[in-house]
Amino acid sequence: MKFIKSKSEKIFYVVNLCIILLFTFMCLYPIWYVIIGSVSSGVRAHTAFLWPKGFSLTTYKTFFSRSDIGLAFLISILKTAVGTVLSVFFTSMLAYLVTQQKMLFRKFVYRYFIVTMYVSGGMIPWYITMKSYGLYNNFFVYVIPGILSVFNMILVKTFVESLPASLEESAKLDGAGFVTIFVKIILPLSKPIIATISVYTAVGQWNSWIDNYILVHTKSLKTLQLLLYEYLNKATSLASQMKNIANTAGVANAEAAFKVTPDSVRMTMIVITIIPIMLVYPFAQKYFTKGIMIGAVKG
Amino acid sequence: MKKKFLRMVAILLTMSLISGCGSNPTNDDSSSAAVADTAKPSSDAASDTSDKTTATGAAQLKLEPIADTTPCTITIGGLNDVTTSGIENTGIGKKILELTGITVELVDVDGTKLTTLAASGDLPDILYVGDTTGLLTKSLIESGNLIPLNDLLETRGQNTIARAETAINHLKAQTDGIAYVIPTGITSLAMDDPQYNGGNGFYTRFDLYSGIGAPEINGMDSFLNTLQQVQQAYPTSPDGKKAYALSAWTDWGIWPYYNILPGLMGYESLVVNQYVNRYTGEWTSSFLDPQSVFWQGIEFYFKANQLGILDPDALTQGWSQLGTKIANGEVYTCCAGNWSVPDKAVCGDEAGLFLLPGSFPVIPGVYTEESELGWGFYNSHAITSACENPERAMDLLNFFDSPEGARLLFNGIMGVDWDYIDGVPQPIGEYLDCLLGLGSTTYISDNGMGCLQYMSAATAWTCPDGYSANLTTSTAYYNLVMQQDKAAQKFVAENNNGDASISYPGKVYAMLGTEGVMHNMTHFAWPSFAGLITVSTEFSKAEANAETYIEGKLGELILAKDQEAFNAAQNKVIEELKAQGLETAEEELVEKLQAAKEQLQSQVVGNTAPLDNGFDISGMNKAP
Amino acid sequence: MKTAARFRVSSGMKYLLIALPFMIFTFMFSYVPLFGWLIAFTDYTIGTRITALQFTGFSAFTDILKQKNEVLRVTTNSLAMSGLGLLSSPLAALFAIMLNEIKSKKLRQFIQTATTFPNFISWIVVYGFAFSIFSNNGLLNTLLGQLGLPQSSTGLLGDTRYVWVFQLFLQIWKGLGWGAIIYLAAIAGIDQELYEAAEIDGANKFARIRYITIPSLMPTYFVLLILAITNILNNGFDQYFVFYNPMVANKIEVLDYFIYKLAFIMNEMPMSIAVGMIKSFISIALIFLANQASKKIRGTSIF
Repeated sequence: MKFIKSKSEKIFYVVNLCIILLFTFMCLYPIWYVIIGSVSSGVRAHTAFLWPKGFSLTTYKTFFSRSDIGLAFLISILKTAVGTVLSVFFTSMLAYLVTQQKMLFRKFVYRYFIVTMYVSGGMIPWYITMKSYGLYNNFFVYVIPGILSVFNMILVKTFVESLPASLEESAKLDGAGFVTIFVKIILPLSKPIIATISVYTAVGQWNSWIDNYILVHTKSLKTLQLLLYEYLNKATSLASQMKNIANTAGVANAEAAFKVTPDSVRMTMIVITIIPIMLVYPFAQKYFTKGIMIGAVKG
Repeated sequence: MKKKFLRMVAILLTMSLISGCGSNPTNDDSSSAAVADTAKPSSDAASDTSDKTTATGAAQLKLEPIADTTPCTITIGGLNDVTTSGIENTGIGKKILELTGITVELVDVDGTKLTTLAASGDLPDILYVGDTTGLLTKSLIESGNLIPLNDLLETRGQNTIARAETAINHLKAQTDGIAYVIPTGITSLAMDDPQYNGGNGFYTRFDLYSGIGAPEINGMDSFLNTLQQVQQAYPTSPDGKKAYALSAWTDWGIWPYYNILPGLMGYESLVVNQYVNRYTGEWTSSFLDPQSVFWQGIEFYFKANQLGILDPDALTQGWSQLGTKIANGEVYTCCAGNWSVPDKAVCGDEAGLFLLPGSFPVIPGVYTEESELGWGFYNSHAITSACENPERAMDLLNFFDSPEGARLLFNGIMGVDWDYIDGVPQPIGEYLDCLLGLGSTTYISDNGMGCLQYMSAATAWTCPDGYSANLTTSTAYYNLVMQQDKAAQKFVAENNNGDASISYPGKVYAMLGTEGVMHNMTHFAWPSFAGLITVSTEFSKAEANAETYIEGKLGELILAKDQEAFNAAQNKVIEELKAQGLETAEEELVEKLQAAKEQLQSQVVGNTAPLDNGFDISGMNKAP
Repeated sequence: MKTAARFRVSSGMKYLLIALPFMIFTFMFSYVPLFGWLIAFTDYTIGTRITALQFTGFSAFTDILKQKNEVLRVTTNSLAMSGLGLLSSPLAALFAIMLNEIKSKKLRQFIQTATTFPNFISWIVVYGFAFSIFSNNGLLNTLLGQLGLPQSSTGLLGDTRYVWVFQLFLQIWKGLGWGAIIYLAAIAGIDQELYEAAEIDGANKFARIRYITIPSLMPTYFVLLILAITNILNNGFDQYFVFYNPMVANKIEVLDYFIYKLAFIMNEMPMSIAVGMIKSFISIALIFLANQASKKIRGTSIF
């Protein structure tokens, strides 16, 4: 039905496509650079632009042959899943809650949350506080503090406010309670925004390592990101240890340094982190495509 | 949604299980034939407790459990664990457990984590403190994070006292007679075994220098001209990229500008950014005195830029990027012989970095120098108040300071990694192969040799069996390394005048010293001040301020158009620093230095000997 | 009547009560740790234990005044970078709109995924990549050399003239695809029938975008814009840390980098926290200002 396009629309379409493809190339090439860098031999990783130089899977092999890798993957997945579900649920509930005009002191309550985005005491009180709550050396450290994300809350609130008011009103007149309306009406209609904050939260959970590094020392609770960070540390300190093994064996350790440099480890880290994300991402992506919201208001 | 999620979990788990659950060290190099004679392990190593003798007639080391072996776990923080799977899983960790009953765990503690843990009193049991000013140590002590060690040393630390008594006493004196830290870096002089390739300096591609006929060099300016000749003869790397003789890097602050030249000019680090002249014992302000060795360092790079031999990326690249350039033959000098090396596959077998004879007055780091005080507060270790078993922690440190423990830390397990061959202890087996670049490249990092070496107070001393605690510092071992190092062979062949006893680069440097071409250091002109001078917070803050200020001005200085512009920029910096109050802050150093000198002369025995050769360096720095 | 009045009050109270557990949670995790601000009034130095601190009053704040020039310099840099960022804020929305116009769903999804990749590349690797392109022996110079064109000797990484623009470019590159997600979600929430109705009424593509898509994105865009304004002093740290070098030092040090420098390089933690406190208060003040402006311009308040 749309095969009659005006000339200006056609030009627009072509120009649009070109610009977008150009930008896409600019996004894809660097990741290609990272991928081939991670399978190039250490020092040459920087000069490989089209194809790996000195193809070598050393970094991957070394990393994946750790005995704790399986457990770390599991912990990371668990942390991401549980943390995301909890955070998305409660954050969006809070977002819906503050849209209720009738709430007593609503403005104060809302601002109470907003202010927390701009204040922070720093690492030291964070550590002391978490320890005093017992959030130390256990799994809850990973998922409890992140339950409320004010930024995501603002996004959801904005979205919910654009939903037709009649839906809510009719449900209330029918006697539905707050939680019921939230679960049965608001959530299903907010799929795009829920998908968005789920992606933001899940990626944040997957990438975080500071909570593990500072607050959890139990070996069985190590996350993948911490393992990656430790791996990078070793590569960096291996390079400096070379310096300390008293100017001897310049031959041996130099060779080792060629194979695995901190930068090639960093590139490996990026690839290892991205692949699981990209495997799961398409499931959320379909909620961004248009056409989901079909005339729910009618009738 | 749920089904897909579970499927994803299943896929990922399978992936990780397939990729292997063992902690096998990776070994993807084909093992070439190991060096034959030294690969045979002694047949009756570990279980033999009879008294055997070494080639020098001394008793061989015996590994025996210590007195108290109550099981316990001790955490050590501040070292970087360079093992792949955790020290407790390596042979060394298991041996320590067997002999002491202690399971050692290494805890990663970087800057932020250290301050956080210190603030809440949750530090690991043993803390390794790297602290150039002494202030970190001071605040750890004052806030009760470190425990007094006097009694523990007395009752359970006899080995430590034997290694480090002088140093401990000196540090004690700064903290009201109570010992809180045990220093490391205590060394005794080893004249027979110079180090393989010297300390920090401007190491140059000897193969290229040789390629232009190895012209005579007569001091700093002459060296710069020679570098220019090298660059003109070899303007591009093997890959066709533009090559430069000299370069620098930015992510270590002003390190390249004040840590390379001073050693070459006969200076020794004092505190923070300050240097003392080893010949005269005099100090002058690094930043405020335009003639200081620091400013000479900056001017060195300025002159290099004037000659067109300074890499344009010197002020924008990180250490990684510089390493890549050196490996690919785009830069011809480095600050050490083996911190970043040319890739032989790209630059040829004979590509190597060495100090060029005559380039500077002094060759630093040739001999392991006599140092009774070690590194003072810097690199010391302590037992923290969070430790629940301080006696066992002391047992552990004491063990590390025993000859057997130290050898274990440096060189691994007797009978597996090193052993007595014909009465001479030397590295063997896979450890030796790894050191020589044959066999596995990850053996050392998988097994942790050297990873705990700073838990031992002394890093270079002679064990009761008559040999160095660290077996990778002997002439015999270096000769083995030489067999693999064609670049070093070339350097030695062209510099030793046919004398076969000068068999590795370090010995060439030693010869240059005895012949008077360049100077070698054997004693600190004044014993290391590091243990004696603690500066105030104001001083170190002022210095930190000055340092970051100068860092921002490096472009104006090094890339100045001509000498006039350089002098003007230099004056401006000095004026500005004075306006910021640096001069007043440094006044305390004058007093403290004087006091330290007086204290040293009355307390330390045997270190006020005049310098060897009585060498006159005043004529060294003349232009050709 | 009476029943209606009671209904209103009790439901207002009801919502407040539901909000209470959330508020307690936030109190525990966001407000309690603020006791760390007290450190700004003590003699804390690296390695000290909290229990051993002594109060020193406002000395950290007066020290900040002594470093006035420094503070002004880094704040200017922060404002410049944030300002440029604000100017480029419509780009994410524009990108989402443009992406939406691509017919093929598969291509759209592929592009959308591909453009999020830069978000996952850590800044230090971005630096390594930028270096390999823009350095003296990098890709750019090599290509220019092969084409016979003059090569740059300073290189982009050390050029003070282009620091802000270059960093802005990197930020856009890294964040565009990821930031467009929220706008795509907003577009996905627009009722399709609006478009169909408009098309029937004769509106062409541009008109449809102008009168349907853009107004639907406005609430989201506006909220994010306000948030960006209130965050004008928060630039993050990683990017500026890795691209720091002596040549561009003057322009690249932003406030967050300065705060880090104070705490960990200069050992001035109380001062660092004091600056952080001031930054927080300014940001909160900006919230109220932005709110007032929003009321005037759009008639509704954001907060």
